[in-house]
Amino acid sequence: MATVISPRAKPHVERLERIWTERPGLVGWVTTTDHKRIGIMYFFTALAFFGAGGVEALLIRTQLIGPNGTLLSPQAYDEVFTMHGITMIFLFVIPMTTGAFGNYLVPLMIGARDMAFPRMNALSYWIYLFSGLFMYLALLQGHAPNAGWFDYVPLASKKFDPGNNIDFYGYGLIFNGISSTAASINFIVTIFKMRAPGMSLNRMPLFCFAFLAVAFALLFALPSLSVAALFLELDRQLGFHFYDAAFGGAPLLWQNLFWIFGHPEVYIIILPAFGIATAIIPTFSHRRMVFFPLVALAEILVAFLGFGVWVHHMFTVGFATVTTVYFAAASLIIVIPSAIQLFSWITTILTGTPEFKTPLLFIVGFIVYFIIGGLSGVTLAAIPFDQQVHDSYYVVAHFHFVIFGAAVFPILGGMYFWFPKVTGRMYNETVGKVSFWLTFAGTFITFFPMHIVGILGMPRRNYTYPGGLGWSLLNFIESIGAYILASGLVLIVANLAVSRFRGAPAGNDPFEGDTLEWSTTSPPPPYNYPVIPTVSSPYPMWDEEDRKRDNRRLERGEGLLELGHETPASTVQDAQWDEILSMPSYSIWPPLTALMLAGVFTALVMQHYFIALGFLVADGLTLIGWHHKGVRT
Amino acid sequence: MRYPPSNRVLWFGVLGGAVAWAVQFVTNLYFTFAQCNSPSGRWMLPIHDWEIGLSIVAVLVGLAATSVCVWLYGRTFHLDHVAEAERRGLGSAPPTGRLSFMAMVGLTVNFLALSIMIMTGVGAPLLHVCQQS
Amino acid sequence: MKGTPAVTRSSAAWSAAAAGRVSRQRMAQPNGWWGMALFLCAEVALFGTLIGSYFYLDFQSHQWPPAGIKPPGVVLPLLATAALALTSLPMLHAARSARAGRRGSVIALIVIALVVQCCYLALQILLFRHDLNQFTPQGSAYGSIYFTLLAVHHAHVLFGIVLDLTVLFFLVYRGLTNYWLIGVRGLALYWHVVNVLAVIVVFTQLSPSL
Repeated sequence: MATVISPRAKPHVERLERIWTERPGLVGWVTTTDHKRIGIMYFFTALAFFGAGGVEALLIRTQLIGPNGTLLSPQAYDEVFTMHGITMIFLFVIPMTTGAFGNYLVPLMIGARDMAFPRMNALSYWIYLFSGLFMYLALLQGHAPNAGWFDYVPLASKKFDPGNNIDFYGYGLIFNGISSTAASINFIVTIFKMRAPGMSLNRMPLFCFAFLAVAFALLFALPSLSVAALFLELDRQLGFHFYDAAFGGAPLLWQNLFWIFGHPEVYIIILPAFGIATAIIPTFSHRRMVFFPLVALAEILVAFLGFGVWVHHMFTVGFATVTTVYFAAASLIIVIPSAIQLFSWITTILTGTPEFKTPLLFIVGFIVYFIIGGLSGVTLAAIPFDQQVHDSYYVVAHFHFVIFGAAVFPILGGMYFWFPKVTGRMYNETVGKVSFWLTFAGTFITFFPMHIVGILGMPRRNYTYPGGLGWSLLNFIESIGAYILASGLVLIVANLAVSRFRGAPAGNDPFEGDTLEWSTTSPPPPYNYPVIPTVSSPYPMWDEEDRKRDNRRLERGEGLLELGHETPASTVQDAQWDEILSMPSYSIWPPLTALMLAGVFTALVMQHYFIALGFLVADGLTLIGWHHKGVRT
Repeated sequence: MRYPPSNRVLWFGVLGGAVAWAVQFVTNLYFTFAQCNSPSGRWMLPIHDWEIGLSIVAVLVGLAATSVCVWLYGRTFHLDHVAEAERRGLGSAPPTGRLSFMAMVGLTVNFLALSIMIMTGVGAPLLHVCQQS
Repeated sequence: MKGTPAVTRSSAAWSAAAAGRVSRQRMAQPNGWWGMALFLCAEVALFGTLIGSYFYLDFQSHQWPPAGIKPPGVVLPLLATAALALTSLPMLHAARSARAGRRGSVIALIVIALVVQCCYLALQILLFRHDLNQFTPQGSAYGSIYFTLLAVHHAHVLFGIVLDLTVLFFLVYRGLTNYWLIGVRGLALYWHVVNVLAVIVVFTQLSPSL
């Protein structure tokens, strides 16, 4: 769309600007339901938690830099490594990918003006923020969860962990899960129903397929975690016996329930990264993605098959082979969709004319680390080998390559890629490249030696190790790597922070992107698109005819939907235009509802059950208030 | 089958194999839990027979879903590629482009689901019941 | 897309008749219906996990229920569940009446369902308390899963009753607008799924006696 609005189009655009005006100040941000503002809030909150998790990581690596470390006591170490895992997974990676990137970009990519349920979107953010603060309250009180992010019983039971550390974990995860459940419902309905007319399923950008898969996976996986945490808290608070072998319970039940959630969770972590990669690669390779349908399918299939492999985290617990064989088979087959994507990305880059700017560099780094992490994963799918390296640093190496190398690198690349769109300014390319190399080198130096030290026998989750075992030098190298990695990450944040104020103006489309968000101004106007876009392929920005047609419609004042806060809804499969929806704008109900819910969980962890009930009733009342005016908030 | 296929047939083609795998997986898993996790003597189940039986049924469902996708892919291949050659974007307008897309998706999903079902259907009965790994 | 096709501005449908027309003109299910359907997918996964846990604990125990605990009585729970399941009929008709724009019918049908649902819940609470006098959740894993499974199910029925009352309140106070028509359809869907889950839960609960 033209940045210069013609005189004929001007009154229409001005009318849209008036209807969709953004409220200024703190009140504006607290009551916002705009997906872009919510995305930005998620971004900064997730970044802050990334910093906290990073500090925890540096504490771990400093403790382990040499044998017999004395920086952290065993109890402190337990709390630090537990909070590191919880923070990075629940408070950084998922909110950053789904909350920040997903929220900001999915409506823009499908040609919509907002998510399907804008108020619930805001609710997801506030619940996330409060659940994160809730869990860090534990740290401030000195009772942080301390049984690992996986929190196995009986260690996490009342008998062995009597304080309220684990209660913050159990309640906190249920609380946090509500945010993600609401967000996944929002994503699915948005992707199903709010696509621009003409964007049938085969014309939807691959980024959206990845987020559709993530949303379905979250929806079906989170209940298992919530049930596991519910059983844990009932055992701890009310003396139930789900996990208590003495009374007929099963400690293994926790492990099963946790990993039924936990394995899909790791695919939830990586799928948005696949989505970001599939957005960056075509743009910088200047060609369409090779095998588009197979990549779309692979994204969904990985999420689906991911529900059938959970026991591969438990190959050493003593299950019969007739049981574990089902999981070994699925764990081997699940490699195939990942490999399909990998071959597609590499082929697209090699057969295009790649421009190795910073975002593409991060994606190349991602591909390298995904291959390394994937290979160590395949070896772990083989039961005999897994039984040798279970609980050693080999596993730590594997999952850091796939979580940090393969899930976080696209996040960092994506931060650079969409920075111009969100802020309207370009980042510094040279500093960007330096930051990439520091991060890439730091990652390798930190995590690669862990394969070796793991096979040499170093167990994980130990606060220190003795000297003379051949582990000391490797640990020292890993810790140096961690400092290098940290400096790379700090440089990325500094580059973006400084460029925010001093970067060159970016224009609408600095990279010749393929998806619709590159057609708007930078940053996009509150209403995203003055005219609902015409779509006839997954690469709308490369279809010049369609973009010209949109401009002509803007001139004629057609398809603006300017009678209120309006956006179209279409059918699920073929995106035929079905109705015009009126969307809510500013609302106090989401933060209020989230606050009442925070009251419920805080009262529960303090064991004030009647107060918790009171907050629950208050929450019900806020939900009634939410609906009492329909969509007119 | 008539073209364009009804939604029911279409989604059976795309998801049939995957759902068959899911059912075979959960059911066989619980058979093994019943037989092997319980104290000896509590359940005496012919789980190898049941596993083989269920795997055969699941594989047949998967093959049926695959044949729907093969038919649909063949039916839309020419139409879709003609459209593809005419424009930059992916294939033709809905519903042909979408149907071709879903057929390709279904073929791959069913192929992989069948692989898992056959691997486990053959592998599990070869193992001694309840021997720990 | 040529020009602006004749699609409805659904939120502008404030009267029951207009809302009914909008509902019949739509090709796809409304967003609110999809939202409820997806929420229910999560609830089905929740109950799947609870029931899976029940049988997991069952299979790995020596005796189920453990010695000293009688297997549950069959008749009352089955009859109660049948009554609850039958409330899907008035809910189905309520959704149909809503799509036809008949507010009075909708209100009457929801009230009928509500009465039966409340009686069901009252009876189940009495049975729950009776069971608590026989054995406790703190006494065994059987007790723990038995009472938790039932309590979670009853909580869903209670939540449904609260939803009934909320929808009724707004139908009276605001009328059968497009928003509340979708609300009625969502409510009906909620009850259909809860009723099916009720049947599965009762068969799980009664599995030692069957």
